[in-house]
Amino acid sequence: MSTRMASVPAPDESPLDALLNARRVTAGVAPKRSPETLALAACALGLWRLDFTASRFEVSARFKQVLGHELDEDSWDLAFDDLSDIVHPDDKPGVYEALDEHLDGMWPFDVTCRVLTRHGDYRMMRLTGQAEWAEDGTPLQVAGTLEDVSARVRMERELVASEARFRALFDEAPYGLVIEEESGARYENPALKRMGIKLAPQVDRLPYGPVELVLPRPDRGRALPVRVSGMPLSDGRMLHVVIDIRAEVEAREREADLQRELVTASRLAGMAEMATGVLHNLGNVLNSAFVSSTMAGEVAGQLVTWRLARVVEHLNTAADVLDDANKRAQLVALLGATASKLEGQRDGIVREVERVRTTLEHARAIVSAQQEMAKNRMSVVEKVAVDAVLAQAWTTAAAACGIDGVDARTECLVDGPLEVDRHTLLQILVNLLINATQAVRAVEERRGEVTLVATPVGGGRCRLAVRDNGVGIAPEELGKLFTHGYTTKATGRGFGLHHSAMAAGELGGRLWAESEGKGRGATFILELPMAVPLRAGELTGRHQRVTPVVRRQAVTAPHSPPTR
Amino acid sequence: MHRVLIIDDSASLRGQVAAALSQAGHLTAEAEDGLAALEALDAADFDVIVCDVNMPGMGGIDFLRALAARSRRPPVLMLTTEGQPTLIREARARGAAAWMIKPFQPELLRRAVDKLGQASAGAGAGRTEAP
Repeated sequence: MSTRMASVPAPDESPLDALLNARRVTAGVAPKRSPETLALAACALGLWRLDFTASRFEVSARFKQVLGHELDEDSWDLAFDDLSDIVHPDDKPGVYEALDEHLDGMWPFDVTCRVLTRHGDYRMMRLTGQAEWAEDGTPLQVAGTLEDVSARVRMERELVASEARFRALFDEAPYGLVIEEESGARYENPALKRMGIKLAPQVDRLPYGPVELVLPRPDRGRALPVRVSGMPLSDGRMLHVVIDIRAEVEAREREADLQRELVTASRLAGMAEMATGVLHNLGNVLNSAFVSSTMAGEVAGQLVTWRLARVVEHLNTAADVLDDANKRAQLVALLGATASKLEGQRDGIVREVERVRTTLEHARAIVSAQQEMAKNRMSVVEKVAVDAVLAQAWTTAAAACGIDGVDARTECLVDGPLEVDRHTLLQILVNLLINATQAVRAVEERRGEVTLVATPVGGGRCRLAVRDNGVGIAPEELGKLFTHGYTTKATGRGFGLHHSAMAAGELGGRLWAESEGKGRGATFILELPMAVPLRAGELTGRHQRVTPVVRRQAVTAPHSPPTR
Repeated sequence: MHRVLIIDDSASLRGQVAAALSQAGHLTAEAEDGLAALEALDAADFDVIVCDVNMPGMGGIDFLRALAARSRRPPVLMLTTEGQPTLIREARARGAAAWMIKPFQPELLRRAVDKLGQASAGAGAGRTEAP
């Protein structure tokens, strides 16, 4: 029957014309169903009519179908029970009142009520109607529609309940809430108003966040730190949660203070630990000096000067001794032997005094190194030659614990200077070297080797590693090494490595340990940036800074050392 | 006989309404929007108001809101082509006394005005309580 099946418009054809042409019916058939019937079928509306001229209430088949009956949808004029029988008793007065108002011409008839279905349950139905009046205003009939709106009503009620809950939450929430329309209009809850902040002037568009902002409070004077988190609502609006984080900020500041104090305490504890070692070493040195001075004293006490006294006495009492050639020869021999003996004794005294001097020099170096390490100073960033720092670390470590019997090696593969707080770096390296020296001394079956090596790595960083062939570290201990208070030494207190790790963080670096296991040595690796990033306002230039830049660095937790 | 204020931006519609009501002996006055109607209410007392919904300037719903703030509130019959249920509910919530769809049937309009006018007189001197 169709001449064309496709409805693609020709260039000069509108889409509607194309559709009509494509589906043109050429055979002699005509539609049978009324357009109203088809339209009502499309929207699932039942029809009803109240005929005052025949005192009759009738409904369409679709009306009954909406109520659960199975009928031919084109049938009409079906006699139906009184409307009263199907409207819920509680809703009946309202329905009839609305109908009366409409028949009086006062209001359109449009009510939603509970209607009984064939299955015995009530469903929410919308009843609409339009009356026809005679010229004198007498209603002749009223006809209308029936629509099952149960789902819509349920959704509306859920929406209302949801809105109520949302409103309660919005009004009663202890934190600030802001609803932001797409137009930028904002609604603020009472809690936000109580905070005293006004968002509109300060923040053009609230961020998704979470972000921390410090917002001024015009009426309170002091600004308020807040955390703002935004989330999109399903209707396109944004809900922002604004939380007063004063307590959190204060707690963070307290934590930072505690952390700083902990770092200081750890540093001091580490220094005390080191000082103990220094004192021990100093004691050894002084013992050595004491022994030398004692020996010198003993030699001095044994000087054979008494022989010279006896020669003089002999010459006074026997003046003719020089006339006797034999006796003179004996005297000369005695004097020669005495001179020789005295020279030997003098050399011995000189040797011991020199030993005392050398030892005292060593003691002075130890004291000097300890004084240098113990300075209570602020962080000073300066450019230092890496090999010089490595050498100084060894010198200080040797002063603290001695390195006799240990192969102490240094390898420096880093060319450029390192921009760093030298004293903090020294503290870390010295601590690691002392640990390594102690670790190799605990192994008797082989000679101890401790190597301090500096190597460049990518990204403007370098690694300073302390490698030893000492007692090694068990895998389960690797992760705990840097914990405050954790130690594997009988006399240790667990401050050293903790402080070193914290200090590494202060330097913008990190510290971790590697070991193949117990008895297989260990390597502690300190990775540092070659240059500390400059902050705004600090001096820059190609030349080394003449005056060291003093920085107060916020203490941050160091990176967790990797475990294996 | 009631004093009726007719508010509509269409002069011809105002004329038709006035003609229908005059036939029943009512006195009518006209305003082209809500603001003009408020001025008319300041100048004279009315028993019933017949008001369009969609008008330039102050529309019918805004007029209801403005009227609610006044001590003298004659009953308002909304006469409009609008049939949206949400709009009808809002008008009812804001104090409208009736809602009639254009084109109106003159006799029904007269009956409604009579009914509202009597209720208004019964409530006392053109005073109605907000719902």
